[in-house]
Amino acid sequence: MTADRERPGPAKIGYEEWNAAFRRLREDIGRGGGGAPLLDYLDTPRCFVELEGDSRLRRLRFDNSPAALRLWSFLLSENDRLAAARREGKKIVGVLKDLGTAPLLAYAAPDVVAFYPDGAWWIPCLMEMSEGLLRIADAAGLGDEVCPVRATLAAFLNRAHFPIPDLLVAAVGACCDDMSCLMQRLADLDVPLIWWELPYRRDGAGPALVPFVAAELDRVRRAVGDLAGRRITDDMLAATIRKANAVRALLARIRDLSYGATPVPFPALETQICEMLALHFCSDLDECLRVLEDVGDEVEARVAARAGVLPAGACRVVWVNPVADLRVMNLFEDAGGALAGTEYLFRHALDPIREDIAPLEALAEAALRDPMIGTAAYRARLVIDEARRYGAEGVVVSGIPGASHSATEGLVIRQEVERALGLPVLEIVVPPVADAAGGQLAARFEAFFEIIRSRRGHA
Amino acid sequence: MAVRAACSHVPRELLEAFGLDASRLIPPGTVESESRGEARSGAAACSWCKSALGSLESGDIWIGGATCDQMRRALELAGRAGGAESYVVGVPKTRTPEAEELFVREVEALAAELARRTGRGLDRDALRRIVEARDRLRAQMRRVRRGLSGSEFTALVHLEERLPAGEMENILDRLPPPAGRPAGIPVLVSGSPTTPGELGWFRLLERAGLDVVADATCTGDRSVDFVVEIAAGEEPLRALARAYFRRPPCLFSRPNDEFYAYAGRLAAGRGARAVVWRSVRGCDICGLEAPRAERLLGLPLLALDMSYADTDSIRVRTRVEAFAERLR
Repeated sequence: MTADRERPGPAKIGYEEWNAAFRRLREDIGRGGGGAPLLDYLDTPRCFVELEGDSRLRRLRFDNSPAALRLWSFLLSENDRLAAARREGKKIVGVLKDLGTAPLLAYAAPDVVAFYPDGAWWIPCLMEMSEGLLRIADAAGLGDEVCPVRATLAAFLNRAHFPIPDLLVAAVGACCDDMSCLMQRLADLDVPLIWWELPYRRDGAGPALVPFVAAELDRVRRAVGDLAGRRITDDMLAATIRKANAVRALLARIRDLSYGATPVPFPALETQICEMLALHFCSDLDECLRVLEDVGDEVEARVAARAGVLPAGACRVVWVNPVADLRVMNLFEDAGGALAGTEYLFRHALDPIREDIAPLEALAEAALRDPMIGTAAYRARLVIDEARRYGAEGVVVSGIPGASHSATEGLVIRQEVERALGLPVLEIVVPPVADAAGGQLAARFEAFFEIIRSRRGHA
Repeated sequence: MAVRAACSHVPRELLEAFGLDASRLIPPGTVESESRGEARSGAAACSWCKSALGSLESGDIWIGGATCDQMRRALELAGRAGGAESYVVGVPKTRTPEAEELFVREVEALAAELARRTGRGLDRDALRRIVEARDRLRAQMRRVRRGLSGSEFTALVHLEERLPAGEMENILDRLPPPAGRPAGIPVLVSGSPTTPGELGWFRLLERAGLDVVADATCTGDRSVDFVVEIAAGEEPLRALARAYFRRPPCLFSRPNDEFYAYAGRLAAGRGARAVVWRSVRGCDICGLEAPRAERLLGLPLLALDMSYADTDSIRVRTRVEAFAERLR
């Protein structure tokens, strides 16, 4: 996508500025690809606030590029896309937990789309609790002691957010307790559900588990094929893996440019969304590729022009875990931080899937690289690799309230990072709407960045 | 070498067949151990894992299962704390034949690890002998169960989990005949496993007029309700692993229908009129099941969420007494 007229330089803008700029941006996007038709999902941020109730958008700051607007619109319009798929007679598969693997089995089938209902954990943030999902979950027995993913059960109960899937595919095994309990509750609902085992991976034991996991995924493949009314062949799966790898290659390019360049060319919030697209392509694999190509071009152009959205002296850190409140990524950058690597629970979904072996084995291998099914020390090594790759100066472990893995893994990551790299580590906890904790979080970020800056002085 | 089996899914017979001092790690369940463990785990870990970490002894090897997320992470912390080493056995959550075969391979991998550490191979005859001895003990404990109160039986299970088979056999042989149980309202206890520090909690139930006739935790009836059958010509290690997989499963299995089928049979068979569902603080797997348990077991249910400071707290006592009143 290219813009013919001169555009303002890269910057982060607020909600009102974003709405005001929308007309120009929409025209820019429309002209992309030699006068291509306007994208049907592209809409003003105000529209998502007023029609969808995504009021949190009013309090966020966004990248000002057309590519970012397209990215946001693509993300926020997913429920419409799923509803349209249902109207068109497509089958909808809800995938739970495995993050990045089982959706490929669905996308390999014609007329099947997949999404993660557990993505509902962001709804309380986006709608600033106005939707009442956490209250519904609480009444259903999943209270504050459970991670915000409990909003998923509520979204199934009130049926107000996404179409109820035709099939649920639940990865259980070495998953966190919250997800395991949530999945058991969903299994009580009147939705067909297939369990598959994603086993614990002792260090070094992954390869021996590949045949087992491949067989589990084959069961899932047959179930999805039955739903689709057509057998999913290895060739169909291989073609989908190639497309998924194209997404992952684009993400690798965006990550390298965004996390490795100074000044930082693209904001933390938008890079987080880009990474999330790797999981299930926001229900449209082909469009996901185009959205990420746009972002990649934008980021590349900014790096070439040495233009960025953050000051050159920002403190570069690896961020661990996604945040339930998106606004915290703004807060982090406003306090002087910049991303220099991430581990959002799904590093395996960013790595290329092998194309030189049988597709199910390749998917099994990919699933077994899941950072959450092994030791916390393994995950810490991913963080350390990321810090080395992008020259990070510190690590922020963003705990998820109530999440079983968050109870102890921050400690291990801290110890390993300090031992291997001598970098400071900040542990925080981010609730779904962190406004009340905003002052405390800002103060902690600022103190952490002071430490990083003082270390620069001594380096 | 002292080995502690940190989960009931670890076949203790295998550890003993290697001649190891092998007992099950049942945390003390005291406020002191929980506090000490919290210093190693952080505040958000469950009380069981904290108390276990707080009881860490130098030189131990902890062998546990990747059962719940907290347990496997506690094992990792134990291994890092400097006082112990740890080994995690993959315990599948699904209940398919393929999952059973995966568990068999995990137990075989454990046997290989033990052989590496001890420098000797698995003695199959020794394994057969210890399997027979433990089966005899389990059978004896099932026989005496009905004559014992909930607190007495739990104490017996705790002993069995800690002592060598021979010593336990002596205790059971010398067990005096039951003194007669005070009449009470028959209840099933379920949820998290119980610790020695919580025997007082059982007595609290009994004092309130409840009679724990059944206990579906892995420190209750579920710990002895299975038999290891080695078919003629069968590899004893495979038979052992298969039996541990097929024993009444823990709540963490998915789906956990088999657990409820077992608990339902146990409650009906013993005439339980109600359920006391106790979960330790921070345990999602047990705590979040309470609403399902009430529905699936179809009995009045008291849900208690307890740290080890609550064992005999006024809060818990009042709730137990109110529940007992409701049942009268």
